[in-house]
Amino acid sequence: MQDTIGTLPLVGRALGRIEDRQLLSGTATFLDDIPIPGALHVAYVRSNVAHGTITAMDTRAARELTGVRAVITADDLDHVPPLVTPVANAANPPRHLLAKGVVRYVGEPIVAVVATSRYVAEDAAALVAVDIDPLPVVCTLAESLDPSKPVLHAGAGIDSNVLFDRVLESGDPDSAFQRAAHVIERTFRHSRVAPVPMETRGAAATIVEDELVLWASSQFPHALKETVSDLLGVEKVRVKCPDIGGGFGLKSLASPEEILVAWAAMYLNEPVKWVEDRSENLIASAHARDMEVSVRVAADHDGVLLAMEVDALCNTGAYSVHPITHTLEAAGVLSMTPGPYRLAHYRARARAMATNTCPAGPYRGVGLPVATLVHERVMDILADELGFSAVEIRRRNLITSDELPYLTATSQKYDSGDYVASLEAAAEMIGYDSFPSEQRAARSSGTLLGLGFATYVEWTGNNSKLFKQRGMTALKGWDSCQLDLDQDGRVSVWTSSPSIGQGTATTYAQVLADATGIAIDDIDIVQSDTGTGEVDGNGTGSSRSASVTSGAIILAGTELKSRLIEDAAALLDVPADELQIVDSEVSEHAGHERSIDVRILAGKADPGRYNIGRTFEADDVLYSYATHACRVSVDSETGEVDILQYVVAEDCGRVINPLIVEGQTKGALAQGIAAALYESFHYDEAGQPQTGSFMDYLVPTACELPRVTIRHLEIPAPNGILGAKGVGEGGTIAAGAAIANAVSNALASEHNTLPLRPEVLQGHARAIFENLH
Amino acid sequence: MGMQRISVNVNGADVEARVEPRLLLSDFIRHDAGLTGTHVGCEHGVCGACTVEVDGAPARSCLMFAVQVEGAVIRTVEGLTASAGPEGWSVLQQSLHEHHGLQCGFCTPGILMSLQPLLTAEEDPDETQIREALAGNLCRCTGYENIVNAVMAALAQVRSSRAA
Repeated sequence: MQDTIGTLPLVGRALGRIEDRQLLSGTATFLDDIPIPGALHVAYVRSNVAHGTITAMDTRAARELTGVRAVITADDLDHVPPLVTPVANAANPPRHLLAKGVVRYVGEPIVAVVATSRYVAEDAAALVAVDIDPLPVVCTLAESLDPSKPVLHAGAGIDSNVLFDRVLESGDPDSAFQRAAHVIERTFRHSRVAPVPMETRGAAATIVEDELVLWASSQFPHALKETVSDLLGVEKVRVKCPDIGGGFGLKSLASPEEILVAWAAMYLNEPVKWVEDRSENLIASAHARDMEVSVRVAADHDGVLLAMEVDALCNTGAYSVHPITHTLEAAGVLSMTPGPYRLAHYRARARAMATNTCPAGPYRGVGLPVATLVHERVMDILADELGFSAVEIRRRNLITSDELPYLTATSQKYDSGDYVASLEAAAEMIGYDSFPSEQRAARSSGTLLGLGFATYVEWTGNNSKLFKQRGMTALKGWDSCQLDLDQDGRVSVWTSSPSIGQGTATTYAQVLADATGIAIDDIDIVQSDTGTGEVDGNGTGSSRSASVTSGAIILAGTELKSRLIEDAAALLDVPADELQIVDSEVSEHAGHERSIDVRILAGKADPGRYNIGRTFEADDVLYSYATHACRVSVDSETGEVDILQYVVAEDCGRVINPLIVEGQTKGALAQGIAAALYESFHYDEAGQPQTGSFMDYLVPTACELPRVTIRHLEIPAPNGILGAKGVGEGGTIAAGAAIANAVSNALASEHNTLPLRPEVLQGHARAIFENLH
Repeated sequence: MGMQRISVNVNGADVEARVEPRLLLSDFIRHDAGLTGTHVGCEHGVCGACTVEVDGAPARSCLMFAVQVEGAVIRTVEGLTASAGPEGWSVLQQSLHEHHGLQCGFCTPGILMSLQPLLTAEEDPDETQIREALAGNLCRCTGYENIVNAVMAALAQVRSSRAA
C-alpha cells in the first residue's frame, strides 16, 4: 500500500468523525425520518401461537375501518414464490412472506394491514381475527431431535428437523485419543440472544416512474435489491439506505416484512412504509447463538492438545434467513473451534435444527463467540487438571508466529500475526503475575476475585471462496466503490457496504484522501444506493469495511490519481512521474513551480473521465485475533459478577483510525459482556416468548459496563490491500469466554453455560465461605 | 375520534395543533412538528431515545400523550443545537464528538436531552453518578465508556467557565 500510494498522512490518525455533525444536531435521516408525502403505513398481524394450522381468518372489520387501504394475506400473494435461500449441503425450507396455512413461531407475520396512519393500521390489525388450531410445539434442541415431535417442514418434503448436518474430520482422532494421557469431556451452552440495534428494522417503498425505489435500513442493499427483483418479478428496483441506527448483522437479512412493503407499494401504486416496533424486533426479527456444544479433548502429559471431537447443536428457529442461511452459526463452530491452537486430529459434527422459535440470523461474531467459549474453557479446564497456569497452557498450544501461515485441521489458512505476543501483552496488562497473591488476600477478607483469559482468531473480510466453503452460496465476498470528481473538485463516493454507525464515512475518506491526494474536506462519502453506477457487492458484514471496501476505494482512488496526474502532465508540460497531488493540488515534486488545482482539471475533463468504479475481493481471508483478560469479583451473597478490569491486546493489522477502531472494540465487547452476564431470550414450553420488552430482555446500561484498556499489536495483513484486517466483531467474540473463565477461577468451579446467572453463582459463592468456616 | 386543540411552545416557537387524544408526544414531535431528531427506540419507556425536555425537565416523550403538554415548553435536540455557541454545538455535543461518544447516533439525541440537568447542576457528580444519570438511556454501540469520558470533560469545561 505504501508503495502504491506513497506516504499515508491521514491513515493511522485519530480524526474526529465526519458523520457526527448530523447525528449530534438531530438532522440525520434514519428510515422513519425520510419525508415521503402521502406514505401509507403497514402494521403486521403476527401469530400468537408457536405452531398451528390457520383454520379461518376474518378481515372484514379491518377492511371496513376508515383509512384502511389494504388487508393483505397469503391468498393475495399466490403469484409470489416463497423465499428459498440457496445453500449447499442443507435442506432449504421455504418461507412465505405471509404465513400460508401453517404458523411456525410466535411473531410470524400472517396479515399486513396498510392504512393512512400507523395508528389506524394498528387499530385495523387488532380487528383481524385469525383462528389457529395448535399443533405440538418443538422448542428446544432436545425436542427438535425427538422423533415423536412434528417435523416442521414436512410439507415441503423436508423429512427431518435437522436442516443442516455436516461432519469435518482431519488426521486420526481415534488413535490420538487412545494414546492420550488426559481426556476431558464437557458440554458448553450459549443462550439465545437478540442483536437489538437501537433503530429497529424498517422499509419504505415508492414507485418513481417505472422504478421501484425501496428505502431500507439494510446492511446488504444489493442482496435486498436482487431478492425483491427476483421474488416479485420486478425488473427495475433501486434500494437506497438512509442513516442506519446500528445493524450488528440483523440488518443483512432481506426480510419478508421489507419485501412485502415493496409488494404493497406496487399493488397500491402508492408509497408504503413499515417501521418495526421494539416488541416485533425482540420477538420476531432474528435471534442468534442458542447452541449446545459437547466436546472430547485429548492432551498429553505436557498439556499439549492432541485431538478434539466436537458435537454442536444449533437451534436455528423456524426458517432459514435470506441470504445468510440457517447454517452460518453451526458452520462457524464447526470450522473455528480449534481456535488459535495447534491441532492435528479433529472430528466435528454440527447440526442446525428447526424449532418453533424466531429464526436465527447473523449477529456480531457469528459462531465464534460459541467456538471461543468452547476452546477457551477447554484450555482452563485442562490447565486445572494438569496443574498448569492459564497462561502456561496457552503458551504450550498457541500457534507461534514462526508457524504462520498455518493450515488448520479445518482448512483455514491463518495468515499472519503473533498470537503468543497478544497473550503475553494481555497477561502483563492485567497484572497476571501479582494476581494469585491478591486473590488469596481478598478471599481471606471475604472477597471472591477471579481472573480469566480468552485468546481467539477470527475470519474477517470473508471472500467468496470462504462463503462457498461454508455453504453460503448467495454471498458475494467482494465489494465495490464508485467515485466521481465533479467540476467543483469534490469527490463523491458510493460503496456497496453502507455505514451502519461504525464511522465508515471517516474511515473511507481517510483512505481515499491518502490514495489520491485529494483534501479530505473535498470528499463526500455517500450512503449506499444500488442505483449509482456499477456499484455491487456483499454489503456491510463479516468485518469487511476497513479491509475489503477500503480496498476497492484504494483501487479506484489510485486510478483517479493517475488520471489526474496524466492530465496535469499534459497541461503543465511536466513528465507525469515528476508530479504529486497534495491537498487537491497537482504540483511538481521539487519546487512546486508548476501546479494546477484539481478543480481546474475537473472543469476541463471530458464527462466521465473522473468517474471510476472498482471492485475488490481479498485473495485470502484476513485473520484478526486478540487476547482478552479480565478481573472479576463475585458477590458472595448475591452471586452478582462485577468486572473490575478488562484488557484487550488485539491485532487488526493497520489501524486506519484509532478512535474508531477502539470504539468498535469497546462496543463489540459491550455486546459480548451482555451475553455473558445479562441477556438471554426465553421461551416457555409452549413456545411463548418471555422476554419481549426491554423490561425483560436486559440490555446493559452504563452502570453495568466496565472501562476497557486496549493495546494494538498492528501487524499488517499480508494479503489485504491496506494491511488492515477486520475489527468490528472481535470484542463480542471473546468476552463470554474471558468472563466465564474469570468467574470459574473466582469460584473454583466450572461455569460452562452463558449467561452466568447470579442465582447459579450464588450457591457456589456461598459454599466457598461455608467450607472456610 | 374527537380531536383536541393544543398549544405548546417547541424550541421557542408557538405551535397550535389539533390532535387525537391518543397521539403520543413522540409522534407529535416527530410527525406533526416535523422534528425528527427525537428518536423512538422502544415505545415502552426503557431506552430513553425519545427523551425531550418538558418545562425544563427531561421526559420520555413515548410515555406521554401530546394533549398532556398543553401550555408546556418543549425543547428537543434541535432546540439544543439552535441555542448552542458559535461552533453550533453545545459543550456536551462538542465533547461527545471529541471523545467518540457516539457511533450510529440513534440514541444520542436522547442522551443529550437526558444529561442537560447534570450539566447545569450545582454539585459535581463523580463517575458513578454520571453512569447513574446515563443509565436511563440505552446505547448499543459504544459500551458507554466514551460517553462517560465526554460527559466528564464537558463537566470540567462547564465548571472552569463558571469559575472564570
